Amino acid sequence: MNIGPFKAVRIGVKRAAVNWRIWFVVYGLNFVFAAFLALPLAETFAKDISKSVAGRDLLYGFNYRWYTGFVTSNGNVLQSFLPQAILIFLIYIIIEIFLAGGFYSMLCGNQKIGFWEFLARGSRYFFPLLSITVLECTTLFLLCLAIRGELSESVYQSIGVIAVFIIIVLSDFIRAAIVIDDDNFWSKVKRGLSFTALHSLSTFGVYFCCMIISAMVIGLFFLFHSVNDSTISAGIIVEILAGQIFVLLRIFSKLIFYAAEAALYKENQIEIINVNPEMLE
Amino acid sequence: MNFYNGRLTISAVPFFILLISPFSLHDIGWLFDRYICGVNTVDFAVKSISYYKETDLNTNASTFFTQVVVTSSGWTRPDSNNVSAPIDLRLAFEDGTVIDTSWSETGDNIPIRQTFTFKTKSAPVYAQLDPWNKITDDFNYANNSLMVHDFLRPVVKWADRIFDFFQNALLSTGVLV
Repeated sequence: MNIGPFKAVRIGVKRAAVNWRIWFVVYGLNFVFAAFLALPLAETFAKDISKSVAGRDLLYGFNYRWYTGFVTSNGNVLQSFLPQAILIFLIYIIIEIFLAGGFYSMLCGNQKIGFWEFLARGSRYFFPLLSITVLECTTLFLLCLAIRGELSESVYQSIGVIAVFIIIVLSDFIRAAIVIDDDNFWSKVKRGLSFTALHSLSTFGVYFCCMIISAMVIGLFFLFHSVNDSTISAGIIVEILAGQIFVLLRIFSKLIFYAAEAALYKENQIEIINVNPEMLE
Repeated sequence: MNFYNGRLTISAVPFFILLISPFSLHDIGWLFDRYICGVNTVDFAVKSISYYKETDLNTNASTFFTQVVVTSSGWTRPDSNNVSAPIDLRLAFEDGTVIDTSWSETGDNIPIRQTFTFKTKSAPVYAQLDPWNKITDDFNYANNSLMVHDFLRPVVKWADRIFDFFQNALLSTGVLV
């Protein structure tokens, strides 16, 4: 059976929905790391906002004059926070790489695996997946260096974005090939280009849909409720809920992508295996 | 001060002050001392706000005594003239009433710290200096006001915004995997 990207996405949606427990693994991981990053900053802001009348203006927008004063009295908090943030991001990426092997194994549809098997798969494929991510990041870094001087030119910008996108897609394909086919990855690079459509559909398509839905929910709320001190609390709750639903949908889209990628790779691979013996005869 | 091609050109600040002082009917040299010639950094701050309640046992009426301590740095110059721009001070109360007053620094020994006392029928909510942002030189606007109780809604809103930003940033970084 030779399936296209649309069929792969449909399969991906089903498999991601069936394996709903993984959502909470990814969501929990994301929540904990985001909390590590956000809490120190939020605490610093809270000290100033909660005591100041200027902070009340922040309910309805952003008060630049307050922020200038805040930076004057506290120094550039964001700059001093940067090394810590980079470290947390790095740890998050390493854990994601560790889990990616387990995700592919669970979502390729052949078998049901338990939690410990999930972790075992993650550790088994950790170093190959880490090496492809390092290779991907290095290529992206070199590419950024190469086009750095031309960023003002929109043509070069577009070429750069497309090139970055292709590198990401190729790397994704190679990751799927490493885990599902258990094969060396360089032979799969050419076929990786067919994943571009899949990537746009399952990741960016869902991403933009989520964004539009969230914006509509918040927009509709404020359309039917005049903004004042009493309704703003409900508005904040809607915003918090919409933000978390948006994050959950993004996680869902990520898992759809893993499953669709595995389906696209696996189903087309079966066809090649079926064809080969006939050709031999 | 010269006239060149029908246009007035000013050769020095003192001449300009001499020119406009008769029209304003005030000596406004202090304004130039602070805004143009001065190198001080201006900062107003509400340092503290506290209150206590007294209840008349006969009438059962409550009276609130509020103390607000304000400070200024950079704005005051002990060697300046006796005239100074007043700084607005607003005090808001729980019943919605607002008292607007001003802090005028006069005399040779200009205070950089002053305590205001108010006697009202309601508890205070906040005190704010320069509520209409008249003095643009104030370099730290964040300490211009002080609330009696913490106001947590903006904190929740912005903490959520920061949290959302990092959640999405982490997920976007996850595209690399």
